[in-house]
Amino acid sequence: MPLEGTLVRLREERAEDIPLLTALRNDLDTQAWSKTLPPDFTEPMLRKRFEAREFSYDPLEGRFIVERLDTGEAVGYIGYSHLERRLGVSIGVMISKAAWGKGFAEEANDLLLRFLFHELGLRVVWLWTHSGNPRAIRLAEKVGFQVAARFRDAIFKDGRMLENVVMDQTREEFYARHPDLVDGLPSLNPGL
Amino acid sequence: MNLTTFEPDDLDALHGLLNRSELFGRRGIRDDEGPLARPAVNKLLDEWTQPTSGVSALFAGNELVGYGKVDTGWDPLTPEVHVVVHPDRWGHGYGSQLLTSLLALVFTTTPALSVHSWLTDWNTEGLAFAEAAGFTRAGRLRRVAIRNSRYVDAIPVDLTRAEWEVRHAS
Repeated sequence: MPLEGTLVRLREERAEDIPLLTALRNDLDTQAWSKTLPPDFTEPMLRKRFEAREFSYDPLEGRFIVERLDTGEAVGYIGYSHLERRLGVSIGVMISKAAWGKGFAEEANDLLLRFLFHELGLRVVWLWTHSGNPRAIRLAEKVGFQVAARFRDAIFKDGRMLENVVMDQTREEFYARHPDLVDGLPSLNPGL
Repeated sequence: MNLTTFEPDDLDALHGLLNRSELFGRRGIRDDEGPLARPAVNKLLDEWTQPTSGVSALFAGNELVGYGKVDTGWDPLTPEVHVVVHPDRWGHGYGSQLLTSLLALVFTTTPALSVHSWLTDWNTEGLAFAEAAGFTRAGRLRRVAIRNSRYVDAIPVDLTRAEWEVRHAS
């Protein structure tokens, strides 16, 4: 199953993507967490991480480049980490500002969710954002997430104290949004 | 009550404490369910005896009755705190004393503006304890684990510096 929609495909990272990943990492609008500051990441830093990645049959993270189908241009990154196998995972996305508002992030999220629920058999997916990023919250709600928790006075960004916002989406909610897909994974607890 | 650091020779006491089945799922460690072998506890003890671990041991006389953790790894503005008390000592105020000490430490010696913690939805005693200490439920993350044939949800709780100052002043 290719991770491909009508606007974008999700493909593996390649060495030539490193300038894009560096730019995304160094942009305060696409990099959500102050923990990653200062924005002085270099291409050699990201190349080191890229080259250190080893082949594994048991990966607990997945990293994909979001590539436009019409032009082949790489416009962002999407991935998951901290995988609890067959249970849950957290996802994250960064799209170049020039590519905002074109539906790429929404479709990339949907493609990744389809992979996580339909191929990895997860029961829940989480994501973390903050109250200063209503755009991200709206996008997440659009692809089926709901706000699960808000931590007060937890994020400092752009000179403001913000809430740390956690969102989640269950397997059943995903399949309810995708009537074209059949969930062949038995429920663990039909009563819930 | 004596709040101090862990020492390497606390291994036996910590091994005994962490293997109390009543504490499974409440210990605030990775892979929190189930017993821990001595090498696993020794590895934890190695971490917890480092100067930056943020872990304190609570003794009553020579008896280890609990421990507390302050984790600033995510962001010093919002440390994660966790308190564990020996089941035989529940209901005697040890947890409250321990948490009071940790919060005072956090809010009087660090730039933290809030603290937070994570509890499981079945841990009603822990939730009641946190709320009695002034913490507020921040929401509910669904399906963080499976226990007794049902999904476990996580209940995060938080407490702001302003709330702590009000309680501390009263």
